[in-house]
Amino acid sequence: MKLTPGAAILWTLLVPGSAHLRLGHAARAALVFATAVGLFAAGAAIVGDRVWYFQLFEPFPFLKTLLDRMPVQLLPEAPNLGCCIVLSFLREAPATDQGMFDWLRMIRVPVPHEHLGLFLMGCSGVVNSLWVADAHWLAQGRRHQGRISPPAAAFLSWLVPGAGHVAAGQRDKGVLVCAAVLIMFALGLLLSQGHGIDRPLRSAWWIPQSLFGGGTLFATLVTAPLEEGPPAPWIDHGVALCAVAGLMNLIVMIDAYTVAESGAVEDAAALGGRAA
Amino acid sequence: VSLVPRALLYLVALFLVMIVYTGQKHSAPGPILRASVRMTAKLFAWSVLGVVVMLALEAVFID
Repeated sequence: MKLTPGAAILWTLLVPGSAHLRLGHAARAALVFATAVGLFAAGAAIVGDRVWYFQLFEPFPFLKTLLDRMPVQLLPEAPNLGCCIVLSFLREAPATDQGMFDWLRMIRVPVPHEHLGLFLMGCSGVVNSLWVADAHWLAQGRRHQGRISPPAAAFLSWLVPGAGHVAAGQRDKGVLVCAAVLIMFALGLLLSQGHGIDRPLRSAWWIPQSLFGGGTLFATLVTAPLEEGPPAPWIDHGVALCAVAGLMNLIVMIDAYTVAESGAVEDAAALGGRAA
Repeated sequence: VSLVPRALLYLVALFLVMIVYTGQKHSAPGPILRASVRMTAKLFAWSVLGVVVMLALEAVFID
């Protein structure tokens, strides 16, 4: 079935996997749905309504009705917009002022394993944004003939910086950028004594930090749940460096996508040349 | 925390960011590192100049 690239983006944002299904990739559609919705549901099952405590900003009064139902301010979950909308409808909306006060107080209370739950929910947003890129790529009628598809290269780089470059054939460059991001991240974690990445405590900083998925997962499972003593003297520097490492990894992911994309074009040209 | 360790940390962080930034323009590690060193030196020099100017302005107009 024909689908414009713009429509593919919209469909995947709202219903993960729907664009892939309409484009005739049933198996991949199932994978998209399972990863985007599965990660989100697993995280939501752990965290529950507490996730609303981590909205980037309180919805403006004149847009409150819209933003309550379409929570684009819930980052990095927002690229998984369909799931966020469903979650907003499942939220227990208090009818009275006292009920709202109790609800706001309740979502401030930590829940068990919230680090993992919040990571899974954030992860679903990042993963779905990569699936959006994949749907857009497929809707353009392009087929990768290189070593790896561009969205897959970006995903690998999200997990391990530079892995996408290595998979796309630029091994040395991949190792170099990997070292740069890892050193920055390790410096940040070291200076903050392991608490530079902690969504319950520093949720706004966590948004850029989550762009380095492998590092955020490590911190989520290993360092963040540790008990925090007196604040480290360099804690602010550590938090900022971890955020910069995440933003650096965004550039690495985009570059890996571009490298894989150009590789595919080159390979396609080579195939065409051989055929001629 | 005193100024010198902070400046050193800034220098290291700037160099690492420049590696990723210049990495988009080149594919081999040699040119990436050379361009990163040049960009880091240039930006660090401008930063130091900026700090000196700010301190001078502060000394003249505030103190």
